[in-house]
Amino acid sequence: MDWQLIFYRSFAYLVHGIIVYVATINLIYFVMMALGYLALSRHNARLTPEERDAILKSPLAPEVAVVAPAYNEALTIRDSVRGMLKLNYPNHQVIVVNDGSKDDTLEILVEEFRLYKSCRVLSGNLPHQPIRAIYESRDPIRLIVVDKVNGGKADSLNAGLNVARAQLVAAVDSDSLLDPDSLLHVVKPFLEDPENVIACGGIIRVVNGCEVRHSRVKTVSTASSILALFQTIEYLRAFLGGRVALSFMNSLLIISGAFGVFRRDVVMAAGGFAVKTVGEDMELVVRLHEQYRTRKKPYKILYASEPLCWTEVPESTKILQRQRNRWQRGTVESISLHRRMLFNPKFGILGMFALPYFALFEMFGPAVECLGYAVTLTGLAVGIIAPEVAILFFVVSVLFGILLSMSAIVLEEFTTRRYPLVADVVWLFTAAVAENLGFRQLLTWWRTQGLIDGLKGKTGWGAMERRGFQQKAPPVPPGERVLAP
Amino acid sequence: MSAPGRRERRARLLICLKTLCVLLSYIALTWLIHHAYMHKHVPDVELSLALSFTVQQISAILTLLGVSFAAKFVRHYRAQRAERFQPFIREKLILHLNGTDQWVELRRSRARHPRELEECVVEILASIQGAGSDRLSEVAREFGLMRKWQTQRHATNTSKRRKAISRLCLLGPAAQQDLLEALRDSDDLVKVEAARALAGSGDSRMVTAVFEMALGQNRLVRAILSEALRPRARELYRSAVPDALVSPDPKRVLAALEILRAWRKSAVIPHLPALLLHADSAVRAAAFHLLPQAGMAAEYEAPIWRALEDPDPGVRTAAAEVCGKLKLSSSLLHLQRALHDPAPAMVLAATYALAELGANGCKVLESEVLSSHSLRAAAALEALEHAKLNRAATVGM
Repeated sequence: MDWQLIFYRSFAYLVHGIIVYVATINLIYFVMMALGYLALSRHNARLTPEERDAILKSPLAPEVAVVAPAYNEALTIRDSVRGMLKLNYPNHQVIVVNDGSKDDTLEILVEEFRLYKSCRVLSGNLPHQPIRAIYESRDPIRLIVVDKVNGGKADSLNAGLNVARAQLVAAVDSDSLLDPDSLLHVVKPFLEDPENVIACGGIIRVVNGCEVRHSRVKTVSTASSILALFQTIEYLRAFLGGRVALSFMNSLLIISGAFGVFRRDVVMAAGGFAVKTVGEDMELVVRLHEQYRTRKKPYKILYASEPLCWTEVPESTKILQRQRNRWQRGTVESISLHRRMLFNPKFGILGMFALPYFALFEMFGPAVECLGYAVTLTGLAVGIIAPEVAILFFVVSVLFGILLSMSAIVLEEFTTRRYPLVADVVWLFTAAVAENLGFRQLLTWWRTQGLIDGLKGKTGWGAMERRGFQQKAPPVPPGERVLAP
Repeated sequence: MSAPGRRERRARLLICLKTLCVLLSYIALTWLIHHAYMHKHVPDVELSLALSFTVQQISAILTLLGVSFAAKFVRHYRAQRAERFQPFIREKLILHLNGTDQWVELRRSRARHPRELEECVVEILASIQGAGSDRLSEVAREFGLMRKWQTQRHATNTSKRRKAISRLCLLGPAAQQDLLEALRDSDDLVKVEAARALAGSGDSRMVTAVFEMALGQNRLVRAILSEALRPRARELYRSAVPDALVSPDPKRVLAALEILRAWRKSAVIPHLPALLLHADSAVRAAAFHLLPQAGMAAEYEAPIWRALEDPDPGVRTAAAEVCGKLKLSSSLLHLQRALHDPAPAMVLAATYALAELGANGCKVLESEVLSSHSLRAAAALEALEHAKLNRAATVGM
């Protein structure tokens, strides 16, 4: 047996396999980006100020409970809650769930918003860790604070769902800032089609580098940290390309945990957020798809590009690595839990395309990319692959990454246009090139580690350090109370 | 399939076809570079294809860069021009609408700065009424702006259509026919734009037409149009509302009730006793929500007591809330019975309603606090607490 020949042939098959894989993934990304652009340009219907005012006055706008789990958020909680209370919406309430914080998150809230222990009745029976107390404000503000034993984000959201009574529930991160009109925009699809729309997510943008005053983003600017800038590009690519396309196909698999609105009755009937997963946002959405498609009930899970939520992204590699590891594990868990939907024609385009795409490319993609680098280096070392071919392979792959990133920036420029300065756009374009030369590979490595951890069944969130929003103005003095809008 | 459903399907299909075209052009261009140039210099097919793809990528990136920066600079250039020329044009337009003939200057501006002139005309038209508005509308007609907007009204691009309609709205009766036609537009927000202008026109027929249109639209459109129709509510209560409330289609009745609720006007609601007993439970619940606006009358008592035992929990809850809002002391016993309702929302509504009834209601709640039924006891405690703190406004939240 000629072992050398077998090795060469196997190697050639492997290389061709990787090339086909890379070509397919790039083709899908390209199609999704084009579809995203076309779908976005059709649906980019902004409300005029008069229409916006009419909805703000209307009693027809459904009640929304904004549920924000908080764990050790003493640094930002005051601003975040103020921002949530001041949202432009006629009928909303804020429910902060203090998930057994070890710092003085609860004490700050009690003092700042003049809270008292209330006798509020739970209106749902989703399981969660015991509630120690429920607080309401003595002031005429619609704020409820739930103090409970630590149980994680999903557990806190379930507690919030039980406390809420509104028709719609917005799950938000307490360390994020919602744009003043975000609720108004995210509720729009529910007003347009109240019977079929069961969930809707908004766009998440990077707040690093922006000027924040009194819990509102005043000036949008690119981040000075290179790591945050790269993540800005990533967020644009994910939200303006992929999610629009998947939403167009009613196959959206993730509504970001940072900002998503759900019909409360639907989530309660589905059993709430799954506690034993780190990707509770994706898992719930996939479960809703599964349940509705199994029962053959019409439904829509949508992504809207207007509702905007600002989030602080990690600026340290250590924290970013932890976050990406967790996201990858979340994907692995969600797909494993619902694997029966994979390639199952009963679930339509979701089972035949969206979920397999996530499994093959989002879940295993980083591992295959790592394998590609390893194979190329091995091929170069043993002389099977010519150096110019290896370089060409790398260049093609990098160029495609740059193309996708640039498309996302162009999409942003033609739709929402949040970055007013030419210098910001130049900076973003530069980052779109640079992120493909090192950062992407680093992420690929971290995600591969996450994949391995996920397959091993590793759990846990890991800590996320908060720096607090970059306030350019002095904070509102504690004595100055926030009243309902 | 309904007409909006068919339209939506067609639009989606169009997007898919366009995406396919983009993809095919991308592949075709790569093949063209390979076939026409690269293969002649690089004999290896795979390598030539890869290089062609690379060239294609680079050109796409450069095109994206170019387009993006060109758009940014065009916007910047236009903003600068506007800043430079608009004050002058604005001044001339104001002089003209005040009666001083400025045709010569305006014609000159039209020839040199048509975009800036158009923007100024729109800006001023949106802020004035009366004779001045008529003179400015004449300018818009004379300079072909009206014709331009009428053409743009048929554009395939929705935002362009919407912009055209919003501009035609400023021209008053002259553009009424265009606005009426726009009520049949495939896009909701284009329709809304036209409907709002027609509702504000003061013409009773138009107002009725807009009200009729609103009945068949989704809740978003209804919410916006309710506000536009609010100033004409009194007139509509006399004419279109009674007919809408006896429609055989429960969806139209429900839509009409929602509009009345959005107006928040105290008025005699036509056919209300019949609506409280309507066959459709959603209509019944909506009618009960309207009762506080109509005010209490003896004829409503029997339907309220009946509704507190309605098979639909939504109707029961609405009836209980009405008892609280109207502070119906005669409902005490009925509400006390409602505390034993199997629906938790109803129990909560009943406790809040009892809390609204004052000392007698609170006495009932105080006895319920000691009840062995955990939900009843907790709900009673919550309602008492809210009554004590005077936080009744937060009922249901």
